[in-house]
Amino acid sequence: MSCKKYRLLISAYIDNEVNDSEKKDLDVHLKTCNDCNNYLNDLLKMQMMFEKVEKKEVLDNIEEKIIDKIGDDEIRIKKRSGFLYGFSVVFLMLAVFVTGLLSVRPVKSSNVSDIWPVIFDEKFEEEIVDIYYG
Amino acid sequence: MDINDSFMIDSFRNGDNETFRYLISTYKEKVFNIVISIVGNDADATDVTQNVFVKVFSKRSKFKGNSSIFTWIYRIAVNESLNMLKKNSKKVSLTDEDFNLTDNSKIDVELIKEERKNKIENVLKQMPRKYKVILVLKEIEGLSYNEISNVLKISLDKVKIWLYRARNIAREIGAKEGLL
Repeated sequence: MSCKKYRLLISAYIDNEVNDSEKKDLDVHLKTCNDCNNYLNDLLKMQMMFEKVEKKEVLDNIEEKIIDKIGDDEIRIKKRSGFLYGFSVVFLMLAVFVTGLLSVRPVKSSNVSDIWPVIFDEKFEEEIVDIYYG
Repeated sequence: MDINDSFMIDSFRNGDNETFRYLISTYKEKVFNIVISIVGNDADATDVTQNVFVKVFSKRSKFKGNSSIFTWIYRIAVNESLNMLKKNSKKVSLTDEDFNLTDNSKIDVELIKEERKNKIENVLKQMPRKYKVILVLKEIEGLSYNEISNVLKISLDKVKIWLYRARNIAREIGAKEGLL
Protein backbone atom coordinates (compact mmCIF):
# COMPACT_ATOMS: atom_id res chain seq x y z
CA MET A 1 0.00 0.00 0.00
CA SER A 2 1.31 3.47 -0.85
CA CYS A 3 1.90 6.23 1.73
CA LYS A 4 -1.07 8.13 0.26
CA LYS A 5 -3.41 5.29 1.17
CA TYR A 6 -1.90 5.04 4.64
CA ARG A 7 -2.46 8.77 5.12
CA LEU A 8 -6.14 8.34 4.39
CA LEU A 9 -6.09 5.68 7.11
CA ILE A 10 -4.17 7.98 9.48
CA SER A 11 -6.86 10.63 9.12
CA ALA A 12 -9.53 8.07 10.05
CA TYR A 13 -7.26 6.61 12.74
CA ILE A 14 -7.06 9.83 14.75
CA ASP A 15 -10.87 9.81 14.81
CA ASN A 16 -11.01 6.16 15.91
CA GLU A 17 -12.73 5.27 12.65
CA VAL A 18 -10.53 2.37 11.52
CA ASN A 19 -11.16 -1.34 12.04
CA ASP A 20 -8.73 -3.73 13.75
CA SER A 21 -7.05 -4.99 10.60
CA GLU A 22 -6.59 -1.44 9.25
CA LYS A 23 -5.09 -0.41 12.58
CA LYS A 24 -2.70 -3.37 12.51
CA ASP A 25 -1.61 -2.53 8.97
CA LEU A 26 -1.09 1.09 9.90
CA ASP A 27 0.94 0.28 13.03
CA VAL A 28 3.30 -1.84 10.97
CA HIS A 29 3.72 0.90 8.37
CA LEU A 30 4.27 3.64 10.96
CA LYS A 31 7.18 1.67 12.45
CA THR A 32 9.10 2.08 9.23
CA CYS A 33 7.87 5.31 7.65
CA ASN A 34 9.11 8.62 9.05
CA ASP A 35 7.09 10.73 6.65
CA CYS A 36 3.84 9.13 7.74
CA ASN A 37 4.87 9.51 11.38
CA ASN A 38 5.41 13.23 10.77
CA TYR A 39 2.05 13.38 9.03
CA LEU A 40 0.36 11.72 12.02
CA ASN A 41 2.04 14.17 14.43
CA ASP A 42 0.97 17.17 12.33
CA LEU A 43 -2.64 16.00 12.24
CA LEU A 44 -2.65 15.45 16.00
CA LYS A 45 -1.17 18.92 16.56
CA MET A 46 -3.81 20.49 14.34
CA GLN A 47 -6.51 18.50 16.09
CA MET A 48 -5.35 19.78 19.49
CA MET A 49 -5.31 23.34 18.24
CA PHE A 50 -8.84 23.09 16.92
CA GLU A 51 -9.97 21.55 20.20
CA LYS A 52 -8.61 24.57 22.04
CA VAL A 53 -10.68 26.99 20.00
CA GLU A 54 -12.80 28.68 22.62
CA LYS A 55 -16.53 28.42 22.23
CA LYS A 56 -18.10 31.80 21.75
CA GLU A 57 -21.23 32.90 23.51
CA VAL A 58 -24.20 33.90 21.49
CA LEU A 59 -26.07 37.15 22.27
CA ASP A 60 -28.23 36.88 25.40
CA ASN A 61 -31.34 38.22 23.75
CA ILE A 62 -31.11 36.14 20.60
CA GLU A 63 -34.24 34.16 21.52
CA GLU A 64 -36.33 37.32 21.61
CA LYS A 65 -34.80 38.53 18.35
CA ILE A 66 -35.70 35.23 16.68
CA ILE A 67 -39.26 35.32 18.00
CA ASP A 68 -39.58 38.96 16.85
CA LYS A 69 -38.25 38.05 13.44
CA ILE A 70 -40.71 35.18 13.10
CA GLY A 71 -43.51 37.57 14.12
CA ASP A 72 -42.40 40.08 11.48
CA ASP A 73 -42.14 37.36 8.86
CA GLU A 74 -45.61 36.06 9.66
CA ILE A 75 -47.06 39.57 9.45
CA ARG A 76 -45.25 40.04 6.15
CA ILE A 77 -46.61 36.72 4.88
CA LYS A 78 -50.15 37.69 5.97
CA LYS A 79 -49.77 41.08 4.28
CA ARG A 80 -48.40 39.42 1.19
CA SER A 81 -51.23 36.88 1.09
CA GLY A 82 -53.76 39.71 1.62
CA PHE A 83 -52.22 41.56 -1.29
CA LEU A 84 -52.20 38.37 -3.37
CA TYR A 85 -55.87 37.78 -2.55
CA GLY A 86 -56.79 41.33 -3.62
CA PHE A 87 -54.66 41.04 -6.71
CA SER A 88 -56.27 37.69 -7.60
CA VAL A 89 -59.78 39.13 -7.30
CA VAL A 90 -58.91 42.12 -9.50
CA PHE A 91 -57.15 39.85 -11.98
CA LEU A 92 -60.13 37.48 -12.11
CA MET A 93 -62.52 40.37 -12.70
CA LEU A 94 -60.26 41.71 -15.43
CA ALA A 95 -60.04 38.27 -17.01
CA VAL A 96 -63.83 37.94 -17.08
CA PHE A 97 -64.13 41.42 -18.55
CA VAL A 98 -61.49 40.82 -21.22
CA THR A 99 -62.99 37.43 -22.11
CA GLY A 100 -66.37 39.07 -22.47
CA LEU A 101 -64.88 41.75 -24.67
CA LEU A 102 -63.10 39.23 -26.83
CA SER A 103 -66.28 37.30 -27.40
CA VAL A 104 -67.94 40.39 -28.94
CA ARG A 105 -64.89 42.12 -30.43
CA PRO A 106 -64.81 42.19 -34.24
CA VAL A 107 -61.80 40.48 -35.74
CA LYS A 108 -60.26 41.54 -39.04
CA SER A 109 -62.61 40.24 -41.67
CA SER A 110 -64.18 41.50 -44.81
CA ASN A 111 -67.56 40.16 -43.87
CA VAL A 112 -68.76 40.96 -40.36
CA SER A 113 -71.69 38.62 -40.57
CA ASP A 114 -69.26 35.67 -40.89
CA ILE A 115 -68.03 36.39 -37.40
CA TRP A 116 -71.29 37.49 -35.78
CA PRO A 117 -73.67 35.23 -37.60
CA VAL A 118 -76.33 35.41 -34.92
CA ILE A 119 -76.35 39.13 -34.25
CA PHE A 120 -75.75 40.29 -37.79
CA ASP A 121 -78.27 38.21 -39.52
CA GLU A 122 -80.33 39.90 -42.16
CA LYS A 123 -83.40 40.25 -39.96
CA PHE A 124 -81.40 42.13 -37.34
CA GLU A 125 -79.94 44.45 -39.98
CA GLU A 126 -83.41 45.19 -41.27
CA GLU A 127 -84.57 46.07 -37.74
CA ILE A 128 -81.62 48.45 -37.34
CA VAL A 129 -82.45 50.12 -40.63
CA ASP A 130 -86.06 50.43 -39.47
CA ILE A 131 -85.05 52.06 -36.20
CA TYR A 132 -82.85 54.65 -37.92
CA TYR A 133 -84.87 55.36 -40.97
CA GLY A 134 -88.35 54.49 -39.80
CA MET B 1 -37.70 16.58 28.13
CA ASP B 2 -36.04 14.43 25.47
CA ILE B 3 -35.45 16.51 22.40
CA ASN B 4 -36.30 13.65 20.07
CA ASP B 5 -39.31 12.09 21.71
CA SER B 6 -42.38 11.85 19.52
CA PHE B 7 -44.47 14.09 21.76
CA MET B 8 -41.95 16.89 21.45
CA ILE B 9 -41.55 16.44 17.71
CA ASP B 10 -45.35 16.59 17.30
CA SER B 11 -45.70 19.74 19.37
CA PHE B 12 -42.80 21.32 17.47
CA ARG B 13 -44.48 20.49 14.14
CA ASN B 14 -47.73 21.97 15.44
CA GLY B 15 -45.95 25.25 16.12
CA ASP B 16 -45.93 25.07 19.92
CA ASN B 17 -44.01 28.14 21.12
CA GLU B 18 -42.67 26.55 24.30
CA THR B 19 -41.12 23.63 22.42
CA PHE B 20 -39.62 26.02 19.93
CA ARG B 21 -38.12 28.17 22.70
CA TYR B 22 -36.70 24.99 24.23
CA LEU B 23 -35.09 24.11 20.90
CA ILE B 24 -33.54 27.56 20.65
CA SER B 25 -32.13 27.46 24.16
CA THR B 26 -30.75 23.95 23.62
CA TYR B 27 -29.10 24.59 20.27
CA LYS B 28 -28.37 28.32 20.03
CA GLU B 29 -24.77 28.05 21.28
CA LYS B 30 -23.95 25.05 19.12
CA VAL B 31 -25.50 26.63 16.04
CA PHE B 32 -23.72 29.94 16.69
CA ASN B 33 -20.36 28.21 17.07
CA ILE B 34 -20.70 26.20 13.87
CA VAL B 35 -21.84 29.28 12.01
CA ILE B 36 -19.08 31.55 13.31
CA SER B 37 -16.44 28.96 12.44
CA ILE B 38 -17.71 28.95 8.87
CA VAL B 39 -18.60 32.62 8.26
CA GLY B 40 -15.74 33.98 10.37
CA ASN B 41 -17.25 37.02 12.13
CA ASP B 42 -19.64 37.77 14.99
CA ALA B 43 -22.06 40.05 13.18
CA ASP B 44 -22.75 37.69 10.28
CA ALA B 45 -22.82 34.71 12.64
CA THR B 46 -25.52 36.39 14.76
CA ASP B 47 -27.62 37.14 11.68
CA VAL B 48 -27.20 33.64 10.31
CA THR B 49 -28.03 32.06 13.68
CA GLN B 50 -31.28 34.01 13.78
CA ASN B 51 -32.08 33.00 10.21
CA VAL B 52 -31.39 29.36 11.02
CA PHE B 53 -34.03 29.32 13.77
CA VAL B 54 -36.50 31.34 11.71
CA LYS B 55 -36.09 28.69 9.00
CA VAL B 56 -36.38 25.88 11.54
CA PHE B 57 -39.72 27.38 12.59
CA SER B 58 -41.06 28.11 9.12
CA LYS B 59 -40.03 24.73 7.72
CA ARG B 60 -41.16 22.74 10.76
CA SER B 61 -43.86 20.91 8.80
CA LYS B 62 -41.16 19.61 6.42
CA PHE B 63 -39.28 17.91 9.25
CA LYS B 64 -40.15 14.26 8.68
CA GLY B 65 -38.41 12.88 11.72
CA ASN B 66 -36.24 10.51 9.66
CA SER B 67 -33.14 12.10 11.16
CA SER B 68 -32.78 13.66 14.61
CA ILE B 69 -33.82 17.29 15.11
CA PHE B 70 -30.19 18.06 15.90
CA THR B 71 -29.01 16.74 12.50
CA TRP B 72 -31.75 18.69 10.75
CA ILE B 73 -30.89 21.95 12.52
CA TYR B 74 -27.17 21.46 11.84
CA ARG B 75 -27.94 20.91 8.16
CA ILE B 76 -29.86 24.18 8.03
CA ALA B 77 -27.03 25.93 9.90
CA VAL B 78 -24.43 24.69 7.41
CA ASN B 79 -26.59 25.68 4.42
CA GLU B 80 -27.32 29.14 5.78
CA SER B 81 -23.62 29.69 6.58
CA LEU B 82 -22.62 28.68 3.06
CA ASN B 83 -25.22 31.08 1.66
CA MET B 84 -23.72 33.88 3.75
CA LEU B 85 -20.22 32.97 2.51
CA LYS B 86 -21.47 33.12 -1.07
CA LYS B 87 -23.05 36.50 -0.41
CA ASN B 88 -19.88 37.80 1.25
CA SER B 89 -17.58 36.52 -1.47
CA LYS B 90 -19.14 39.17 -3.70
CA LYS B 91 -18.03 41.95 -1.37
CA VAL B 92 -14.60 40.91 -0.12
CA SER B 93 -12.76 43.65 1.74
CA LEU B 94 -9.92 43.78 4.20
CA THR B 95 -10.87 44.60 7.77
CA ASP B 96 -8.72 45.31 10.82
CA GLU B 97 -9.08 41.65 11.77
CA ASP B 98 -7.31 40.63 8.57
CA PHE B 99 -4.22 42.52 9.72
CA ASN B 100 -4.27 40.86 13.16
CA LEU B 101 -4.21 44.18 14.97
CA THR B 102 -3.46 43.59 18.65
CA ASP B 103 -3.92 45.63 21.78
CA ASN B 104 -0.54 46.52 23.38
CA SER B 105 -1.98 46.41 26.88
CA LYS B 106 -2.57 42.66 26.75
CA ILE B 107 -0.17 40.42 28.61
CA ASP B 108 2.05 37.97 26.72
CA VAL B 109 0.07 34.78 27.38
CA GLU B 110 -3.09 36.40 26.13
CA LEU B 111 -1.27 37.71 23.10
CA ILE B 112 0.08 34.27 22.26
CA LYS B 113 -3.38 32.74 22.69
CA GLU B 114 -4.94 35.41 20.56
CA GLU B 115 -2.27 35.04 17.90
CA ARG B 116 -2.82 31.30 17.74
CA LYS B 117 -6.56 31.81 17.58
CA ASN B 118 -6.12 34.26 14.71
CA LYS B 119 -3.89 31.80 12.90
CA ILE B 120 -6.45 29.03 13.26
CA GLU B 121 -9.14 31.39 12.01
CA ASN B 122 -6.87 32.26 9.09
CA VAL B 123 -6.44 28.57 8.28
CA LEU B 124 -10.22 28.16 8.16
CA LYS B 125 -10.68 31.35 6.14
CA GLN B 126 -8.35 30.11 3.43
CA MET B 127 -9.95 26.70 3.07
CA PRO B 128 -12.38 25.77 0.30
CA ARG B 129 -15.96 25.85 1.64
CA LYS B 130 -16.82 22.17 1.72
CA TYR B 131 -13.56 21.22 3.42
CA LYS B 132 -13.94 24.04 5.91
CA VAL B 133 -17.43 22.84 6.81
CA ILE B 134 -16.41 19.23 7.33
CA LEU B 135 -13.39 20.23 9.40
CA VAL B 136 -15.53 22.47 11.62
CA LEU B 137 -18.11 19.73 12.14
CA LYS B 138 -15.41 17.22 13.07
CA GLU B 139 -12.68 19.15 14.85
CA ILE B 140 -14.60 21.97 16.50
CA GLU B 141 -18.05 20.45 16.98
CA GLY B 142 -16.80 16.91 17.57
CA LEU B 143 -19.47 15.21 15.44
CA SER B 144 -19.01 11.52 14.60
CA TYR B 145 -18.58 10.34 10.99
CA ASN B 146 -22.15 9.08 11.10
CA GLU B 147 -23.51 12.44 12.24
CA ILE B 148 -21.49 14.31 9.61
CA SER B 149 -22.78 11.92 6.96
CA ASN B 150 -26.37 12.73 8.04
CA VAL B 151 -25.83 16.49 8.27
CA LEU B 152 -24.10 16.81 4.89
CA LYS B 153 -26.08 13.99 3.26
CA ILE B 154 -22.94 12.28 1.98
CA SER B 155 -21.74 8.67 2.35
CA LEU B 156 -19.42 7.57 5.14
CA ASP B 157 -16.69 6.92 2.58
CA LYS B 158 -17.05 10.47 1.34
CA VAL B 159 -16.81 11.76 4.92
CA LYS B 160 -13.48 9.91 5.28
CA ILE B 161 -12.11 11.22 1.99
CA TRP B 162 -13.26 14.82 2.48
CA LEU B 163 -11.81 14.91 5.98
CA TYR B 164 -8.53 13.51 4.72
CA ARG B 165 -8.37 16.19 2.01
CA ALA B 166 -9.49 18.91 4.44
CA ARG B 167 -6.72 17.95 6.85
CA ASN B 168 -4.13 17.97 4.08
CA ILE B 169 -5.18 21.48 3.09
CA ALA B 170 -5.29 22.65 6.72
CA ARG B 171 -1.85 21.15 7.32
CA GLU B 172 -0.42 22.96 4.33
CA ILE B 173 -1.93 26.32 5.33
CA GLY B 174 -1.08 25.69 9.00
CA ALA B 175 2.59 25.19 8.08
CA LYS B 176 2.59 28.51 6.17
CA GLU B 177 0.97 30.23 9.16
CA GLY B 178 3.66 28.81 11.45
CA LEU B 179 1.29 26.60 13.39
CA LEU B 180 3.27 23.40 12.79
